Amino acid sequence: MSPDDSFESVLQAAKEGAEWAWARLYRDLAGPVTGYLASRGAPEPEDLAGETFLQVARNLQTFQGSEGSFRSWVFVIAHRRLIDARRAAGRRAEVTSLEDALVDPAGGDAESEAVDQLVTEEIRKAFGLLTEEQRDVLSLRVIANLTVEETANVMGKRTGAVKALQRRGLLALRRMLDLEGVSK
Amino acid sequence: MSRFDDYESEMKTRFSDHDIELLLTGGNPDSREAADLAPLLEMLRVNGSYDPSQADTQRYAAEAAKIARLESTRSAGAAEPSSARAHRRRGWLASSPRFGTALAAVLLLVGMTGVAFASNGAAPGDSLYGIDRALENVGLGAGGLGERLLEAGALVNHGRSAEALAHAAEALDASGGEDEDVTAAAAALHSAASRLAAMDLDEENGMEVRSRVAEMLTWIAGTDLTAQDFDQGVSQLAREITGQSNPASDGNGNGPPADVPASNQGGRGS
Repeated sequence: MSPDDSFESVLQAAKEGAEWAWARLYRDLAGPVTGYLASRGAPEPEDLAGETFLQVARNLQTFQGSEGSFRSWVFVIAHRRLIDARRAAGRRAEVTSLEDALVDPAGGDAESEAVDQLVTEEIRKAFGLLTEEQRDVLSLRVIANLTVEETANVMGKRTGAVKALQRRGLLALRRMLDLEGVSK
Repeated sequence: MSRFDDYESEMKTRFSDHDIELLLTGGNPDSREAADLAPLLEMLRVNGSYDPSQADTQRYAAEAAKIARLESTRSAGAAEPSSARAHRRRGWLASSPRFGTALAAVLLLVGMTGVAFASNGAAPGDSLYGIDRALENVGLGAGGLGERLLEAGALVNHGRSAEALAHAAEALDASGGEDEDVTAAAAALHSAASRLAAMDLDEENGMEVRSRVAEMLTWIAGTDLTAQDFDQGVSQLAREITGQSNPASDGNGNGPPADVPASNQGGRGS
């Protein structure tokens, strides 16, 4: 947001029902929220992101805080929606995890597509090694672009626990690369 | 020490916090060990990026704005008289819309961290931290009964139902004063906590107890009942949590107050 459109003014306008303010919030957050939900196996991530956004609208009168707190709060709602969706889908998400949700990169020539495909397969394989919580943390950090503190808030954990999860997750990925290097 | 522990110990020295932060935020790590992971994470970032369409943006913005206007009108019209009335009746419990959100937050966190607890057994205190952050986000956090009830909710989430009851009891004890005598309610919760601590519950019953305790905490925070009626409601709910569901057994022959949740009026069937 530009300095002229401070978060505080956008938030206040959104609380008063200004459509331009909601468009601004949606443009800022819909992408990361959808990406996060997709990476965590949400059955219909775009619809779920929309539901999240409307829930934010219903609850916004009660929100007070900074832009970072708001962002974190939105992801808390998205996370909750994800859990509800998983339950509704009969826990289908437990088998539809991050590596299954990855889409093949679009466009490009045959050679680059082949390279991208290899990398995508690499990610599928790599993330299959991680625990659910490690995937949650990496998705929130990398795709949703949340800070450690915001991620901790969404997951209901201490920042130290999030740091440990992200370190272990990255170490697992690194170890996989090392083992592949030995085997090649 | 296992081979993996050795490996992890070694990597900690070569895989710094600084490099981890750079990796996760799209920067260029200093070490080769970390830098080798950058393409993987960049691919994850690219695959997870979505651009909302103009049509979706307009549609959701219009709908959200409409909802916000309705909520704004509703809260402006309803907040002042009801909050003033409730405050007179229950001076120890904030009844602002923000507290409503905090309650929603505790239920949310109970559900959310419940998943984490079930999956790997979260460390004690984790959910309290989450609750604190939730309170911070809605502008609460200055203590008081509301916050203590949220903390009790966090204990429930960790399967520590007896401790949750004891925590709520202490909160009620501390909240009583000249305006309210909630000694009987607090005593009922202490008693239920003791009974529950002595019970050997299987998983199914344990989950049922957790659900009932969470429901009771929500009722305590939201009810408009006062003094004796409040005591009676809490006592009834507390008995039912531990399977003592006879409404007339409180000694005065009265049934549960009218706003005690219907699901709690029939006991656990034990």
